[in-house]
Amino acid sequence: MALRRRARRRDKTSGEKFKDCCRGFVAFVFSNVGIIALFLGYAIIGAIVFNKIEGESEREKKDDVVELRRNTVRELWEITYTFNVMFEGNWTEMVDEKILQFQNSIVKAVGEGYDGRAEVASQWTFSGGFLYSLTVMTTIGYGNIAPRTSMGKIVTIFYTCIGFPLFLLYLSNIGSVLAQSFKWLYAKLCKCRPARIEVLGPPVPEPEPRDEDEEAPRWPDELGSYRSQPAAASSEEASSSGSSSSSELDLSTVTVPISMCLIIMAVYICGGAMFFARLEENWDFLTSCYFCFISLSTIGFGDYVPGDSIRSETGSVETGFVLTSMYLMLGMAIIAMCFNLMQEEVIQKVRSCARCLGCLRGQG
Amino acid sequence: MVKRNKKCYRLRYYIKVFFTHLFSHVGLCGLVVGYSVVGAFLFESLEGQPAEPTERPTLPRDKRREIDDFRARCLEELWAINMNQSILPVLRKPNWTELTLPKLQQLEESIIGVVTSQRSNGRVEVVEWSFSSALLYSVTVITTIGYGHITPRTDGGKIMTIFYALIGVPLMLLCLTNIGQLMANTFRFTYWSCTVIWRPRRPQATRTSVRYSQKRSSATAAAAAAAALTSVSPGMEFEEVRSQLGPAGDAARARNASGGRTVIVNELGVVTRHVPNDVGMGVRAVQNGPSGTLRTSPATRGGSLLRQQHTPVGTLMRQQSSPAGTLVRQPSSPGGIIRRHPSSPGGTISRQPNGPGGGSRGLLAEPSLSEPDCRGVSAGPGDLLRTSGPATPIKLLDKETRDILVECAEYVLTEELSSLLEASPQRRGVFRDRSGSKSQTAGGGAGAGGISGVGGSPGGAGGGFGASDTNVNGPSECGDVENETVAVPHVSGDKLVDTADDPDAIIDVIEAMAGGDAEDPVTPVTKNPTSATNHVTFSTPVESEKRQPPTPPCRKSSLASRPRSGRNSAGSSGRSSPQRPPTFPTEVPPPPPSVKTVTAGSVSPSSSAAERARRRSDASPARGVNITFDSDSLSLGPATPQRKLSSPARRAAVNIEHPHLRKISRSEKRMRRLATRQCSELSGASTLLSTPSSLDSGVYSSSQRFTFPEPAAALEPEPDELVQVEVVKTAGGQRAAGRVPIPLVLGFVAMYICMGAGIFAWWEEWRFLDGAYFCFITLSTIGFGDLVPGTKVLRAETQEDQLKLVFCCLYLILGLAIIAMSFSLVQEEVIVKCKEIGKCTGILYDSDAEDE
Repeated sequence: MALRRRARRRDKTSGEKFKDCCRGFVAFVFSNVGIIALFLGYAIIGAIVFNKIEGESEREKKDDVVELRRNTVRELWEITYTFNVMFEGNWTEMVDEKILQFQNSIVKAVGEGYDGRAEVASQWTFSGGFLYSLTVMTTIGYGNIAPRTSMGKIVTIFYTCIGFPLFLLYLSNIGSVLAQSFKWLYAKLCKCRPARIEVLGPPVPEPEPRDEDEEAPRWPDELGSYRSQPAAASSEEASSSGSSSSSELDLSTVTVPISMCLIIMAVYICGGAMFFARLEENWDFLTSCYFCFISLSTIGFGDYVPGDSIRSETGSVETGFVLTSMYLMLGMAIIAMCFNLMQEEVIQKVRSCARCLGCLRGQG
Repeated sequence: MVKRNKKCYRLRYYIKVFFTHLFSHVGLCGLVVGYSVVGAFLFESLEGQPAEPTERPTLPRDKRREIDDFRARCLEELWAINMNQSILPVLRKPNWTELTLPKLQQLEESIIGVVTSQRSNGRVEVVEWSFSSALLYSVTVITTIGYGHITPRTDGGKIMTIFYALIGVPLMLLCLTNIGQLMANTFRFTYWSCTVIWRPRRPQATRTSVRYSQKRSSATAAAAAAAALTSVSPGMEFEEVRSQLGPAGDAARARNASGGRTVIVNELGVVTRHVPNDVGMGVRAVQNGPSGTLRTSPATRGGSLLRQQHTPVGTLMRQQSSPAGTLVRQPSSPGGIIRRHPSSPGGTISRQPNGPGGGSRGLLAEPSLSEPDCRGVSAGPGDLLRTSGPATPIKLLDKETRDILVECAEYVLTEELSSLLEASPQRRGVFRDRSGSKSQTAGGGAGAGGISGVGGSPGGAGGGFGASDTNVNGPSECGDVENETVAVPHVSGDKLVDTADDPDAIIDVIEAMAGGDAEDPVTPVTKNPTSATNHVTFSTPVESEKRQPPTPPCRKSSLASRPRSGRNSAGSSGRSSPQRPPTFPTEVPPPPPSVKTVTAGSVSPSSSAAERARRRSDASPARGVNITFDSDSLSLGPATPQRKLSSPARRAAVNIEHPHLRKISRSEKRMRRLATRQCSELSGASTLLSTPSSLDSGVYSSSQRFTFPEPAAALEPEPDELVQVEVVKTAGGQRAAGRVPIPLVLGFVAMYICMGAGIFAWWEEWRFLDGAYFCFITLSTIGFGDLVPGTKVLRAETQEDQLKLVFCCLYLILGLAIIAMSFSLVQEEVIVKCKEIGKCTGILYDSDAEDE
């Protein structure tokens, strides 16, 4: 096959070149960077769209309610005015009716998304929209912000249809990259300090310092370090494809113990918890942990959402959203990585176990 | 030692069984349900009590009252404003308004506070932690939906949630993928069955069907069948089909079968095995129904499916007749080409893999699918060939009726044959009877088995029966059991001769046929005390077209066939074993006009009607005999309907298969893919593979399965047989089941969502859009929680709510399974599409796989 392909390439140069270009483009799009860009871009598009759709309706709704209130008062005045001599009974009756109407329309308005916080910054700012589209794509779905208009709902549905597969792609891609690099790192560490590794204990402490180091500087660094790892790996091993394959071979034999994966996740969650605990005044550590876990597992209750309390202080809304978004995106990838690694490990364990029991014939 | 070993073994066995059950669908489902119920209790106990004392500001039913309170208070304040003369001695509008406005705003805010209190500020807990709500909660946790309509307030609850999710989420995932797979296969199967059922109505199919139906009506079905047998397929050459009787062992089986027959309705069958010829590889199994007629599944009634594969080395033919039918294996000529003509439902599909030895082609009749029912015939894309005999037991007929039937059959045969001949002058169908000759005896020496040999002499080409006799080389295994032989009509020249020596035999056949299905084509079976070998030669004028380059290595041929996949019948055994050239339908003959839908005369579009007719005629023979080819080795035991196959044989089959598989694994994959594609395209082929059992046996995936039972009614009427057959299955198993178009899947999901939307909209008095939105958000596990059933704001809480919550849980889980199903279906489809596109454009070769 390869030969044939090569031959073909020689035959049609221009066509092949074009194809090569296409191939390069597609490869790039599906490469790690491309995926991240795609993902971000999609989220940003979502932010803009939802901002447009929901933000407007939100504003309109607000105006509507204000208008409604004014009208009600005017009507009340009419009533008061007509009864020049007022008897409480009559007056109350009339007014009660009016107010009941008012009440019902308020309830209805609330059902459609009016939240009464008229003067406060709108939920559907750009960053709010971004967080929203992120939660939709990742299926976290906090629900603290949710579309109120029909249009918004429909758009959400279709947005998800595309966004979710994209997110999966992102997860598997970045997850595997992270897993690879982590394996490589782990193997490196093992190699460097064989003495420690021999005992089962040592590997456990090892990751910790590393993670904490990364945890302390917070994610930007972590991100950088993660990304630099593969690069370093490839550069070290003569960046040609052939060498990379050889390194992969090595990596494939490396299995990272489950405990380490769990530790990584725990560390990441705890790090996030500390961060959020500082960010949100009224969250204690447990709450933050809970929030991080619920978020990263994509359960997303939405009972605690970082933006909520931040919103009151006008300035920090954006940063809260942005930080949350980044934490989520990276966290998802790390979780995926851990699952990758754990899965391998578990499969291996189960297999060997089954083999022992004789449940499986040779291949599993 | 032995005992201990046995114990060990048993223990292992039990453990194995336990685990398989545990991880079976039911076990998983039970696990998940149990887990969520446990979770419900857990959370109820954790959250239920503490919630009471602390603060429970507003239960839903309190809300109205509360709002009323607010309103009353507001009224009082307003009245106070009026009365308070000190402030406003005279009421003036601006002043009054000024004072009133804030009051109203206050009211508004308090109302909002009450209404939205349920949502997400974490302090206010609106929903009670009853059992059902706790159940919904735990379900939303493990499915990662996370509405957030109720959330744990206590620390214990929070921690518990974390650990609960840690275990529950993977469990749920496992369960979902499992169930999703199962459902996907079921869905696929139903889809195919549906297509099979509906296809026939297409115009293309109608023509033949009409014809057949007429015949049936006029003549007996049996006669029609016989006619079908006689008819020569234009495209096909039959070089030679010889059935050699199986070795003694086979005979024994056959006997068992026959014995079984009494027990089992239809089993009368004779099993004949042909040992592979030169190479010894090819085995053709022909199973004849008791009557020696092959029965196609009732659905397929009219159409029979024949697959012939000639592997360069040997050919394996299996003809399955009635479910219980006898199995006859006929070694193909060495060098022979295998063609498979599975009949597509509407039309006939011919698969002709060319063996390297291409010279001889064994052609099997293409099933004529003219009948709508024919669709039922599945040449499973994946090598699944089903010919199911009529489910109806065969009844014994009176002698008179038998005679009549026989006569009719003969008449029809001759008539049809002659007509065919006339139609295609070039084509001469020659049936030769070699009833007398026992070629087989040499090998097996066992009793004389009836052999139905069909030798096609290329009429137009003027080629004689090429191989007719030559095939015999293979050691013939055994004589037929009980002397039942497949009746072979002999036609010499234009003449059709019925070779059946024993009237009884014929009668038997007819009986079987008549009993089973009037419509079933009957291949006359002759019981000859002595084995008779029949050779039928079909000459195909057209052959030249159809011929594929003889030598193409299987792989190549398979690849080549790909583009045409549409026309190809279901990917027959996709695996290209070196020997077996892809069973694929590399149909050479079918003119480019290949129609994507193989079904109704896939070939036909280009081919003239006449051709079609011929084909059909060809097909008809097929009816009588279904021949499926296995990869060389595989064919044996499994094909035999009876379980009683000697274990060694089975083992052998299995063993063979494995190495085979491994070798081919790669090519096989490809083949499978092809097969699946083809399958999808083949409307006709009903792939039964989807049945769970097939799924489970991944190992066997490559094997061919023959199911005799009626496709629709019982997927696996004869489980035992199936099991055995599974082993034999050559082509990628479940995959073969074919793909389902994406729109259909999406439509299905949309339907489910709409259904849910309707229900929830009705219950909760939401708008329909809201309902749909809710369902979608839920099923995609986003779970905003802005709309949650059972939390309608101003409404009294009733007992019904509890039920609704439970229903909601059920809807959720089922829906998620459906989503998982559609995911797997769509994914498959998308991957294939992407690869196709990539390949077409040349953009991708390998990288594609990763991306997907």
